[in-house]
Amino acid sequence: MPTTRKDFSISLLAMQDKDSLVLRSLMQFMSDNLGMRLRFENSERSDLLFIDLESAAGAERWHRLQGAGLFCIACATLPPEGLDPARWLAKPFRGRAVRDLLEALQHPASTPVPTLHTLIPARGAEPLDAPSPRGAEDGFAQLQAMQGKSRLSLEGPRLPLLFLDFVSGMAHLPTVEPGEFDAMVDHWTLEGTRTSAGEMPLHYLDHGTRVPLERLLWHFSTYHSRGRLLADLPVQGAYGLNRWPDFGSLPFSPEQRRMAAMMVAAPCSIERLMERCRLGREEVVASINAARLCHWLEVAPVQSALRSAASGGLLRETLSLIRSRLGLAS
Amino acid sequence: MSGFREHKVVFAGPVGAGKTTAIRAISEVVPVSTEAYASDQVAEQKVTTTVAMDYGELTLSRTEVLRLYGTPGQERFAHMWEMLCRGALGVIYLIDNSRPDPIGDLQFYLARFAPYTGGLAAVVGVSRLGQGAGPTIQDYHARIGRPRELPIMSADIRRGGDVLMLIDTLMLSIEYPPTALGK
Repeated sequence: MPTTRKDFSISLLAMQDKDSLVLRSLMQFMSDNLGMRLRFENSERSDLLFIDLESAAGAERWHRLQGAGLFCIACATLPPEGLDPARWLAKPFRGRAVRDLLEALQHPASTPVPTLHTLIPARGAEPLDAPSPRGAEDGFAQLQAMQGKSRLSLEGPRLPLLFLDFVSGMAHLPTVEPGEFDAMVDHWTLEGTRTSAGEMPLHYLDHGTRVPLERLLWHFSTYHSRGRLLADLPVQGAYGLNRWPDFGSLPFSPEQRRMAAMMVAAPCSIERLMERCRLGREEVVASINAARLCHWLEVAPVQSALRSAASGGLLRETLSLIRSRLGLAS
Repeated sequence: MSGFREHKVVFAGPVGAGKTTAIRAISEVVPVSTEAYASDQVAEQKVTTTVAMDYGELTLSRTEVLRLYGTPGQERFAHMWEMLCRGALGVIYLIDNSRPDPIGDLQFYLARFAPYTGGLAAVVGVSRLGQGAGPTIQDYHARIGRPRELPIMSADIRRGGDVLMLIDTLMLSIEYPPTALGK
């Protein structure tokens, strides 16, 4: 049985700040998922030395340290001639390659386990396929289980360790670069996820990233709801919102923004929202479920008369003109 | 000209929050800025600052135009605020979340504009959210206490799409004002 090592000290040498930040973030992110503990330092005595061969200083260090019995990883666009491929990390850095490398270090003699490349897909990767019926069912059950929780940890085969704080409205995850989260989140699913109550992992205090919880919940709800309302929501009810969602953090279309505005104004039935906003049932139901999980949903037994201040008047015409002129849905 | 109609949207907020940038992002004419070299504590934040107003416009039809006004951020120009808000469709408040007390900034502007904006729709755009340990949107709603009346959005004012999102939200809040239901 191969030995498993979990703790490593790491130094990134002769690397530009930007590359260093990306690689460090990816390693932290992946190591959390692999249960490894990485300690970053700036020393030539670390367990692992990542050296950028594409700088003069890096080339010099590589030649000097390679023969000193140290474990060096060459970071370069192409594999250096004659080098064991296991000692090469391709630039630009990609999550899958970093993960494969860390796994190889952790289980030196084992067969590689399936990679979780979906955690950080390659640039340009296709979005998620529709969930399999079983996977969607599984993920929907996880959505149901989130109701009424104040804090929750989630971890799964297609999900890094997430800490959801429903009280503060924030989710905590491993460190990612600004902009990386939006590229990742649409590839995460709740299938096979383990949930646990408890406190936020301590290392997230120093190394974690926090994002608005609604961004995650809207994604999970959109992916897993498939037109099904959460169990305690009445099909014939009318649904309102007790606050405006943050359209800046949610990838809402103008039609979804209209839906939210109507729900803030007064509770509406699913059918009315579909009709007025030209949205499909699945989109409306997914938003209702997500709003429920965010604690923003109000449920009324019957639909109230939605007053549009602008109905039929000059103002409505003006608003329509402005939207049209700005290229927004009318 | 007979039948010509003008509409007005006002951008308000502290110095450096992005009012000038927001107007530049959507105006179809070269915006007019009455900027001057900053001479007081503002100079620590930016080289020039708006001293009267910014102005941009968008033609809606042959007979209608949308005028975009940015108010000067410094309180010593507060006499301009009432003039610019008169007859406006609504106000977009821009807040820089990296300032020492951004929610306090918003409370200040909401309070100071209240006499001129009674009944007007309003939207808040918060820039530089997520940088450092500034408050979250939830923190804003908790302190302001008007989560159904006042949309508060994160926004990168440098992106035209985010400015459009704020204007769209303003239009929606005019079209669908909150009723007493569900309060």
